[in-house]
Amino acid sequence: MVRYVAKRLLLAGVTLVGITIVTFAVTRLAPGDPALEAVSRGGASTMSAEAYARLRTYYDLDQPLSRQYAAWLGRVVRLDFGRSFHDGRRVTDKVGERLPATLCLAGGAVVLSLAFAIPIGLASARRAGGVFDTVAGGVLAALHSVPRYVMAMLLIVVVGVHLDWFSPYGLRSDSFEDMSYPGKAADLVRHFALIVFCFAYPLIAYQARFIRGNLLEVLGQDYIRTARAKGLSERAVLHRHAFRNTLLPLITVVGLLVPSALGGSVILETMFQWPGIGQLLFQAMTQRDYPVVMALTVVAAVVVLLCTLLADLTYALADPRVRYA
Amino acid sequence: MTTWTAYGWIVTCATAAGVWAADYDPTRDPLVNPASLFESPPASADRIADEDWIIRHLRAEPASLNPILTSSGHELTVQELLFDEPVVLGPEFEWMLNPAMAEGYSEADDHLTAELRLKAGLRWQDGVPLTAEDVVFAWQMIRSEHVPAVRARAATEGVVDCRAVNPVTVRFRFREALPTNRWRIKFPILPRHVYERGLSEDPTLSRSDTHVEANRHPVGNGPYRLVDWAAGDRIVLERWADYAGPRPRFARVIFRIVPDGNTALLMFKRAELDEMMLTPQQFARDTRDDRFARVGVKGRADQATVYCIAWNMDGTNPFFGDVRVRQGMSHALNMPLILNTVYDGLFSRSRGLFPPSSWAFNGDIPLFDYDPTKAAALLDAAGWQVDSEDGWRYRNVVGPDGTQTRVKFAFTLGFAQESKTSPQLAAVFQQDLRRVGVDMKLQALEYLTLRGRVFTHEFQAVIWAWTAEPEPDDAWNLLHSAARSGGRNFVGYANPDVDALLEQGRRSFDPEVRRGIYRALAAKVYEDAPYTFLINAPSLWAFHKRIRGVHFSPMGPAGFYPGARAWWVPAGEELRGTR
Repeated sequence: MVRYVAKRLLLAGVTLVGITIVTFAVTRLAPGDPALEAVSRGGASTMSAEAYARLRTYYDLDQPLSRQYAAWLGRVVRLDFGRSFHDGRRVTDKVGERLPATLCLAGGAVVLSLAFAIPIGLASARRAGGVFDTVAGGVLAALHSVPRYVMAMLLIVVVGVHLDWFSPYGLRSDSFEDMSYPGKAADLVRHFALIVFCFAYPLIAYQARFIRGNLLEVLGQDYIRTARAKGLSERAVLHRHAFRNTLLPLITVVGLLVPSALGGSVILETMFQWPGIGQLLFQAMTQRDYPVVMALTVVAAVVVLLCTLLADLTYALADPRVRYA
Repeated sequence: MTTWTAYGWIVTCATAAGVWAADYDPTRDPLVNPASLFESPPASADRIADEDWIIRHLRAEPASLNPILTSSGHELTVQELLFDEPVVLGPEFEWMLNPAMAEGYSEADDHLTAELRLKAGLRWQDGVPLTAEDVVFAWQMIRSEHVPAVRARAATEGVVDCRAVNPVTVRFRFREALPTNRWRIKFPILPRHVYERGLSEDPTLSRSDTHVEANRHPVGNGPYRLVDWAAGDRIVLERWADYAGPRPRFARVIFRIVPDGNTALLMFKRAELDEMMLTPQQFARDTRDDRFARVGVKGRADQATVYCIAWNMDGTNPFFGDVRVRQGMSHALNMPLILNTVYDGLFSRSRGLFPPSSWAFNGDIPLFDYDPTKAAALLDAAGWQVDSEDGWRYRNVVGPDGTQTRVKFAFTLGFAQESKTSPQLAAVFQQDLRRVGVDMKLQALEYLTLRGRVFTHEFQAVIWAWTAEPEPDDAWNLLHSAARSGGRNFVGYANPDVDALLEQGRRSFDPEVRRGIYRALAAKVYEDAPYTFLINAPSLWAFHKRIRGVHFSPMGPAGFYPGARAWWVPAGEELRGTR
């Protein structure tokens, strides 16, 4: 087991370095650079060759690429991600202050989706092929096929602006500080609801179908027949015996969905004015803020690699037939 | 290639849709320029709301609020409320002393030295006295090799020395005796006591934790002080009670950071923003619903922004070095159609180098009329003959080694993909040129990429724009042959007559003589067509209907003195804050 984990971690490390090399190269290959961005920020009238050359030196862009990468890697192994080219702040501060907003979204989306997916999955499996199963299956498939940004636009315009039921923009209102505690809570819910739903709805569809499929497989097992033969109620059989056995793979699936939710955050956070890391990545890319782009890439890569590793390990735990080869 | 063809089709269809929707007349829209928007404040202060908040739109998050490091419009929008400068831009783009800060300015007879006198008893927001030493310190930092002060550095070019004579007097020395020298001392100031700390550790003012913190939470001297900056979300300013100038009208100014213009408009309609800049499409079409009318009004005025097509004449292409070709291009462009459909009748046609708001504006320049026949004749005269087989124009071009090659008149027009209007304009122009046998390809590029191409002269033609500086001498950097390397003469323009006029305009101290010179310059450049001048972009804005006291300068409703400081709300119409 220890050897297996060590081997996987080593592989993950190599993959991570590969990812950073590719990202480093791709960001530098994109036309324009931060010096050009800075020199032309005030419009065409401040663009001058002298200022451009000065700024290239300021950002160390006049060094060879290999040396720039080596310097970056040398700092990152000491967990120093450097300073943003945009505002000179430490990249760890910039990412750190935005991480909670995105984690709340990912967490909220997972909780919300499970809250819907588990009952729907159970009910569908109980009478597979019945009316509820068919209708739910159809609705979920339809939902799953709507891209998130389309749903987001619809919700913003209809539910947010025209009906004015929710606040589609940002984390909180301008008068948040002056609100009472219940008022603050209501304000947060008004701001959270739409974006969390947009994150969650494709997950609901996916997880509900996953639970249903697994349950149906489990329900055909011998021990379920035994449980029924003991005279347990159908409810007890389904919840206590069958569902528990589908939990582990479900956790794995949820673990694998978190990185995909983070990926989706770039567009959704931009549309909802959500100050999370997705929005930061989008801004950093347009500003050619290389240190921030690189740091967010590393964060995302680490999350994906870790989740994959955990998924593999839990599979192995759940099923002893999987050998640590 | 197929991508561009497909792109052209999409844009053509979009333009057709534009033709269909072009029934907008701003002069008949009751929401445009209502008298209330421009109303002066009443004499009695109790008729002005004192506790209201205003929520303003920021297109992007500022990199810094250190006034010598900033250069973007959105950074200046915040910074001008935090920092007062001794010399400011007036409502009509004129040079003026800030009445809250400066008492006088005088130049010596030889125009090589000048003295600026500050008011006595000025203070920074932390209570420390503000003196001439702070002005000197700011100048030193702006001129420092290590500090990335792009805009401020360009603005102070020509000031060779700056020192404090006494706590309220600063003396400047200039490199040359020029009528434009007084503009060179218009630069931001810095609290020396804040930035001097840690200067040895970080001479860039932008890379140590101390300096980064000072840049994000600056100690200013303006009417407002910063109380909160939530990254990616909002910046909150609060009235500085001890401000020496007129009492700030809003108790709070909140800047919401909203990069997407469509999102901002939806927020405006939800009364989550009190002001924002509109695109022509938003102004003409997306603001005609009840939701907008319930909360907002619109303001429209001329602005000093010039749009043009820049022709690269540095010899890397065989087309645009010939003045007849550039004139032919200008005649081929269907400007009446473009003004009507692409710009929804909101933009006025450009009359050359200087906008109508400039004192150097020349309204007598004869414009290029839309005339394909004249365009064809000019191209014929330049040697570009139509091939009877395929209908495109060709010419024999002699290479550097003396060999002749037959070249087709085919070139690429670059433009910013973020622009809402440039793609449509390009599509109309493409059709126009096809009619006279010129094959123009379109290339949509990200802003930054486009700027990079222009900067390194790697383009044939681009749709380009700039906001004219108040002082017409700015044209030197754009047009003088010496500005081809190092300056902004990215098109490689060289005309001895133009060079001579630029030199004369820069040296004369007689305003009337200068006016004559720059009028002649504008006419010469228009005719010579290194740029085909298109339009002057107007300021198009939305304001919450309770806001009064707006004035449009050639740069828009803010960015000058008093600008946003003059906005007010009538007592009883407060929307936010504590009532």
